[in-house]
Amino acid sequence: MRQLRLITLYLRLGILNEVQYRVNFFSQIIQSALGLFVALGALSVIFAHTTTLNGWSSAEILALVGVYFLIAGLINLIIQPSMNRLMEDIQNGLLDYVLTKPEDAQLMISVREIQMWKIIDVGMGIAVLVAALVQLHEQIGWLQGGAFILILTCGGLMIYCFWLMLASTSFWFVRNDDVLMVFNSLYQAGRWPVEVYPGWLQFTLRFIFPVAFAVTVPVQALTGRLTWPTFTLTLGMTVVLLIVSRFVWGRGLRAYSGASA
Amino acid sequence: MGGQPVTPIDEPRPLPGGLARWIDTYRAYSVAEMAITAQYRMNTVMWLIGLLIEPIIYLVVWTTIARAQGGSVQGYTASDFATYYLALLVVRQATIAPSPYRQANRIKRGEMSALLLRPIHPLHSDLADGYVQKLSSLFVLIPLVVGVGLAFGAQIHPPLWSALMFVPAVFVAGLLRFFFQYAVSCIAFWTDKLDGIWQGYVTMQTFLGGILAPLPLLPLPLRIMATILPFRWIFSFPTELVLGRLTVQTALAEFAVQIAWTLLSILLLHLLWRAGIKRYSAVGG
Repeated sequence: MRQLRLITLYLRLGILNEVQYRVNFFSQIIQSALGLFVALGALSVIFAHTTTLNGWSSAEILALVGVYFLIAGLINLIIQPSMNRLMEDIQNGLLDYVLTKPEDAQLMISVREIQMWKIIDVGMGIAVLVAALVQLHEQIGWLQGGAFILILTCGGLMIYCFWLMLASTSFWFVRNDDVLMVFNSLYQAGRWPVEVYPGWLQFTLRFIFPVAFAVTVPVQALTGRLTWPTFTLTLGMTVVLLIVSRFVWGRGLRAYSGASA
Repeated sequence: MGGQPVTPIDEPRPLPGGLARWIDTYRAYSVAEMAITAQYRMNTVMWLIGLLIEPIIYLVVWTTIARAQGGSVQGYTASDFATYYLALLVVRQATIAPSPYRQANRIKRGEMSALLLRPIHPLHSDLADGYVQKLSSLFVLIPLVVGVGLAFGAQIHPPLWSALMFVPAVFVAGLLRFFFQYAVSCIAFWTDKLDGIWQGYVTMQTFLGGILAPLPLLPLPLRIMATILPFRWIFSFPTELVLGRLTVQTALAEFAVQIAWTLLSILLLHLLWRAGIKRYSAVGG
């Protein structure tokens, strides 16, 4: 309960901090709108030449686009800013300030920084998803809806764990922003069903940068394509990643010597 | 008194005149930029991965469609798409131009002041930097492209004239992209920030430069826009030469349009620069 209050407090602080810069709101609107425009444009150009893409109808791909924006929004809203802050703080020793506080440090570093206006991407993703659901409503039951929400949560958690582990490597290697840049460019691949890619890229998107589990697999659950093995694998991998990332973070903390700011 | 004749060390080397002077200038800028690039090798690798991923995504999507449609989409087979996207990647890399954000930052932070004090237009150092970047990254990119090309079954068999024309076409495309982007970056003299403008620019480039899909696959209104605006002449035209689908007459006509757009960009840059520099009032740097 106290943790929940702490999270809300941090989020409120983050929001208040960002609301000062209202011009960013408008530039974010432009950015989000253009991103959506490209995604929908690509969709309409491609579906002018075909009716299905690897067995996915245009409405199903639309749902994928929605989830893509939703997850990208969440990453940019809170995960990436907090993790960037963590890496910076490790580099210049400011992490001391977090560690001296009497709360779980992992919790605090995870919600510390928030780029409020990225919420527009989240909202846009939800809107696109709803538009897709309207077209798909006949093939979706309660079961699929429930599975979708469960898998989507797992996917989001996996992305969080992935970032936490990467950011934690800063305890040993001073700079690794490059790997995060690669994540961002690989994330683009999530806009299409992961099965269309060649084997090596599918493997990368599933087990190295877990983009597939955050975007493709939830939509598979929604459209009733989810197989039991994938379902179990997703749940299993989420649990494993949660444990492993917590472990890596802990080992990293022990390696942290501070820089005494 | 014997000993060594004293060489005056503070006497400046006489500047060569004319063409030799320009060659000297560009060599100096290139060596400096090469030293900088060599420090960031890992950056280059990561950046190449980022560069490779987008074409692969579109390539895979179009290949999937071509296969599902019984082998081709409007005459483009899976192997044509592979050739197209890999050629496009090489063209994009070979024509890379400095990001306008750099220019905007110089203007916003006042760094432009220092550059303006030099007895040479800042454009020359940017042009020299760009060409070092291109050569060094092409060195890494070409083997990668060959590898991906083999994996996706790309086939290159353009007619000889088309292959020969590719070289000047890419060269002009590089100039066109450089001057046009530079002209766009001059908008920062008025706005300081370029965010929205540049994102709009990149969006247009994605659709009209043939990045999303080869231009013949786009709907008619977009094809018309693509013909009018410069993006097609930067990216799509040299790429289509590799594909070898153009006739000699069309290729020559398109080459003429490409050159015309380049001249127009230079003019545009000249006008915007002159007007912008008058407005520029930042201090420091």
